[in-house]
Amino acid sequence: MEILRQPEEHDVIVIGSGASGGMAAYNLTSKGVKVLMLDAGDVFDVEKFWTHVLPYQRVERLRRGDREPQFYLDPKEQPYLVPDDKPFLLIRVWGRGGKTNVWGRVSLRMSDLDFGAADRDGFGISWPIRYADLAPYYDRVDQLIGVCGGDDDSEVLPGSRYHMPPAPPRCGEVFMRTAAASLDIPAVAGRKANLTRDHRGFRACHYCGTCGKGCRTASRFSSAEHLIPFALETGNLEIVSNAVVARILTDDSGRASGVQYFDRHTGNERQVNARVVVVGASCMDSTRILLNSKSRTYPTGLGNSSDMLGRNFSEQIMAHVSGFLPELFGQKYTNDDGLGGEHIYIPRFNHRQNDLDYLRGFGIQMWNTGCQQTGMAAADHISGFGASFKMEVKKRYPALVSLHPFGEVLSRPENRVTVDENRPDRYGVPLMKISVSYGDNERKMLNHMYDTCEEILHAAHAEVPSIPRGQHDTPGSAIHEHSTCRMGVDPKMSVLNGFNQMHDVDNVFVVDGSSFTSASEKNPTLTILALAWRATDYLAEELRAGNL
Amino acid sequence: MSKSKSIDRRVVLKTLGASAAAQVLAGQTSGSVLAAGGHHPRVPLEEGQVWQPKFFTVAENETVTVLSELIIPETDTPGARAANVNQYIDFILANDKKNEGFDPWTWMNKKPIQRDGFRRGLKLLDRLSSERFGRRFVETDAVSQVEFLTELAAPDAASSIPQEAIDFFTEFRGLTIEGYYGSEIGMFEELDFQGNTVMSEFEGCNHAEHLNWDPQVSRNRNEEQ
Repeated sequence: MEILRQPEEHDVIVIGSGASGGMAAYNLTSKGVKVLMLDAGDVFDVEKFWTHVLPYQRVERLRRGDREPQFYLDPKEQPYLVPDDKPFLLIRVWGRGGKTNVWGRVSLRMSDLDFGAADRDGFGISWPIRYADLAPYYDRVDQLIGVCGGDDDSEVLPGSRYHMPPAPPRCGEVFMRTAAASLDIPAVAGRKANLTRDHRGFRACHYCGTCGKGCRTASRFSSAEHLIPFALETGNLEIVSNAVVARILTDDSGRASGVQYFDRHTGNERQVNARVVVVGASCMDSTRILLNSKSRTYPTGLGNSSDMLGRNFSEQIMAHVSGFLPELFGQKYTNDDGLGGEHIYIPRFNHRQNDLDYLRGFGIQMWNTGCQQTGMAAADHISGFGASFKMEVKKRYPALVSLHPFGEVLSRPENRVTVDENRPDRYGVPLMKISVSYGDNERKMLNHMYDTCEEILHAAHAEVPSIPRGQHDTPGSAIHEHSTCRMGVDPKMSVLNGFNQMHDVDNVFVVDGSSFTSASEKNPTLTILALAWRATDYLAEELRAGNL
Repeated sequence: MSKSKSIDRRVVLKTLGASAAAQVLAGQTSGSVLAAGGHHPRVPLEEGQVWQPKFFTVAENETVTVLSELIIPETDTPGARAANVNQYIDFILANDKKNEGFDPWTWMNKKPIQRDGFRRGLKLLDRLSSERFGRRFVETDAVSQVEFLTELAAPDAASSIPQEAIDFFTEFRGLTIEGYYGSEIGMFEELDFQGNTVMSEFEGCNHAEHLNWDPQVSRNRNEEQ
């Protein structure tokens, strides 16, 4: 194989271009640090997004031979291994901006109930930071990316002074809010990284509701549009696309010296050097890179003296319950697209209960309310066929409400990522193996999730076709993977310190979701952005002080 | 939300940028800017040609057309036949997916539609129909067809219908729903879909009777009735 060495040394190599890598590059380049970003894919062409394409138009285009945008990595190209009895859905976007091109945009602040959970219930380890450490960064992130939301503030979900105005609730959400309140379960305005006002040169949202297909106007946060172009403008950022990172290289002293990667298309190997390596390839890929970065000094992977690397996987367990509100039967149809997804959110409420038979909590999202989708969304919950079936769909279409609880999956050492030396990928790099299953705590929480959904729907007088008790999405489906490279005070129990810096190797920082000490029930991207900003503030200061 | 704030052309141009907006405006229809094919002008797919199935035989296509129309029939609005649901199902089965974006959820959660299984299902439908009525399904009278589908849709314990036929009907019904409600007819003639437009503000629910709804009063009222 042709081996090319690039002699130039950069200050910092950033692996990944999503929320964490994008933020690291944005912050470091703004401080004059020279950054080389390695991105595993290409730039996605905004002009070719199929944002406003209706289902039948999509079929017409495919019939004509048009090519649909390819956001998601096909496991045929990069497989991941799972035991036969432990299915896992790993969703990866390799390309500029990563998953922020298509993300759900829910932007929630974590609280001291989350950061200090282990101190209260004794499970796992406590975060090395508290809300006060991250609050200034949450404030900065909200101001930079533009997050809409309400003025609510609670011990579960800290408020923000910098929210843009929220999008008001749809009819179905008004009923659900009232119904939940009647059970003493407060619902708040949804918090989303959608711009409800023009911001930093980006147009406000035009409420077409199809953010998941990629936004033609960048009216929601994405790293590719809201961070990286600003970093490029400083002149301090160089980006290599289609650079699939295999390993972090170390020198004789055990410190990181650079990165080895393979060109995604040609398979050619390259090595690049830097004083510091920042890892933000998303949880599972970052963990794989570190596990594969073996050497005589680090026989089980880089930063793994604790044996915690790859262990303690955490995420959220998801369930879905739908119903129809008789008050809305036959109502004139409305445009319910809005921000795409829910405009109200039910934050965790179970911390006020002391009779729980499980640890931690769940929040409830409510996407797919009313006429946001085609009639299929309603028809899926109605049985039968013929003229009566058609009439029932028509009547119930505006009356659909859906509840989607997300519950914290405890961080347990046996839920882990490893690499399989006998199963290399196309570049000869060992594949990751994911072994995750849910336990008793998740099953008990799931029961409470279903009970709560049923109670809220009952309070709303909803017709509920079925409650799929016991069912949950395949592990991984939340796309919120965490904790396989966790932060902690004790180097024997964690991989990173409170500034996302490796305990074992001081010039490696891991700034993506893998660094979370525990998952909480909240969607993580806002916290990833805040952590990456804080970590790279520290990194830049250490560089300046000559400590790195 | 009784009144959607549609945007004027000037704002659309500013919002979408000139090239995208030109496409949008070229197909602009009443009020709704992006809907009803407005965003991307429709191009006839087989100009001057009669549609031909790519996966189904002519006889199979006939069965598919009849079966889909029984599931979603023409009423005061068009049904599955008018919405070309048979063409949709044919496309789904014939399509090699190479131009589709990879969809990890489908990859993980749905078993792929088995082309052979689908064909076997259609044959099984005809065989069961022959055993019962002495004719192929499409040649059977409408009353018998409905009676047969009623049993397929909700079989009781005593039913002699094989599981494979029940599974096939479930899959077929799902594809019919997907094809019909995702079609232009299903979205705009049957359901009057209001979305996929450009709006300057999202107003949300402004129905006083919704905003002031009292679950307890409503429950008492319903119980009295």
